[in-house]
Amino acid sequence: MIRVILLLVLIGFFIDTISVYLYTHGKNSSGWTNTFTLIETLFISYFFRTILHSAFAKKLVAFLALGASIIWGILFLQKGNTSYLELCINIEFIIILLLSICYFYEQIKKPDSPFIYIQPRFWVVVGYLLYSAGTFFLFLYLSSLNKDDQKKYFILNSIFLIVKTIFLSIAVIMKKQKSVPQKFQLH
Amino acid sequence: MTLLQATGISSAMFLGTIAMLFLTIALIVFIIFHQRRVIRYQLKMQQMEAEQQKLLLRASIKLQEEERQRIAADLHDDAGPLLATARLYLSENMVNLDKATQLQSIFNAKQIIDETIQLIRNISHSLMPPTLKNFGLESAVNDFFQKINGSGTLNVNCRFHDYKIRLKPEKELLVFRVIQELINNILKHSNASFIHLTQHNGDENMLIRLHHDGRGLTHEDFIKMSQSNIGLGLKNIQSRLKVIQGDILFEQDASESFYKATIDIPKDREER
Repeated sequence: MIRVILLLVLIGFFIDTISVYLYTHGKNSSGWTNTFTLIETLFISYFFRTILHSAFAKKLVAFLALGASIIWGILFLQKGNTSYLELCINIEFIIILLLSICYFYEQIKKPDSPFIYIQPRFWVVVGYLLYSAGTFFLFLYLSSLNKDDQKKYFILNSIFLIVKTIFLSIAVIMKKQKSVPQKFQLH
Repeated sequence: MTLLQATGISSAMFLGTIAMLFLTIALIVFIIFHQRRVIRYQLKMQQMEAEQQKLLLRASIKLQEEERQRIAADLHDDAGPLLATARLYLSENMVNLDKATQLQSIFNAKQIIDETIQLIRNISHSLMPPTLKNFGLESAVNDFFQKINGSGTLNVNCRFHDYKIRLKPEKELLVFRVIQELINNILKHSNASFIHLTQHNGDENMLIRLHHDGRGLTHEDFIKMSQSNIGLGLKNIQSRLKVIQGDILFEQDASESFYKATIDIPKDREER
């Protein structure tokens, strides 16, 4: 599961590098970014599908991923590589917020471990949740801003990207829990 | 885009981001603290349960010890002297060669041995009532109640509505012991003038209810007593019911004139 996230981070890093390269050479990088949005949405949906327990939540994940993919397909056909698909990014963020709440709700009802923060998946969820919450309004209003303002505010995205990466790094370097002491085991 | 519009968008973006972040952090903090609180509560519950288990175990061991002491006392105080006397009569035969005296000694020894046999049978019956073993719970309870009625001090009766399929023998014995313990408690503490027992058969369980008109227990009293160091008999009831995964409820009648104790006995597949 953490490997999935690690793979996603590597793909993100690869696509970001290409985008920066294209941007500095005066070329349009929106095609790569839009593709990454779809990949990220699908990877995150898969991640939530593995960490959520209830059948309803799993169905919801599948439904949301399918819905997001259809919307992405339609918008991509309309706009192609010409502009960023902010709507798809916002849909992805809404999916993350919704599924994170589902995850926390499940953990309140039936915790997987005595302390939620000893699980790497918790840090992955926190990382994505903070990133989504921090940049949700940025992407919502991005198209309404002019080019100079977009550049000015896009630094916010970089800050939250760093925060997200820190949390994902915590998840990746966390040691796998071997066993829970008997006295903390829940019945 | 006008400057005013741009300022509006900027402040909406700023406020929205701040609000979202605040909500997210609040949610994460709430989850962590809530989970810690739940775990603390569960640990406390586990400790309480362990304490309760300890009390039950102690009560059960004490009961066993008391039972052993009673059997030892019965054997030592009653069977021992009787057998010693019989031995004395038989030894006398070796010394006394007079035929008539010998016969008298043998007769006396035989009487004493018969008495000892009866005594040992009584001890054995108190461990496992033969009526219960041979004829089941209904007959054993009837037998037990007849003995109490024989004393003439109070009116005890029972009614089994449907007891065609018997419970397993070990389960019957445990239920019988629980009934005995409850009746003993009523006799000792309640000052009741009547006791009425009814049995009801369900699909998956059997209910046995005891009514009496004396001073009784409510369920709160029962829980309090079973958690304290007093009420050994009640702890025995609890530990016996735990073995058969049964339950007991003490309550007062709506009219406040009777007390009820209802035993719930889950049935196994072959007892249905």
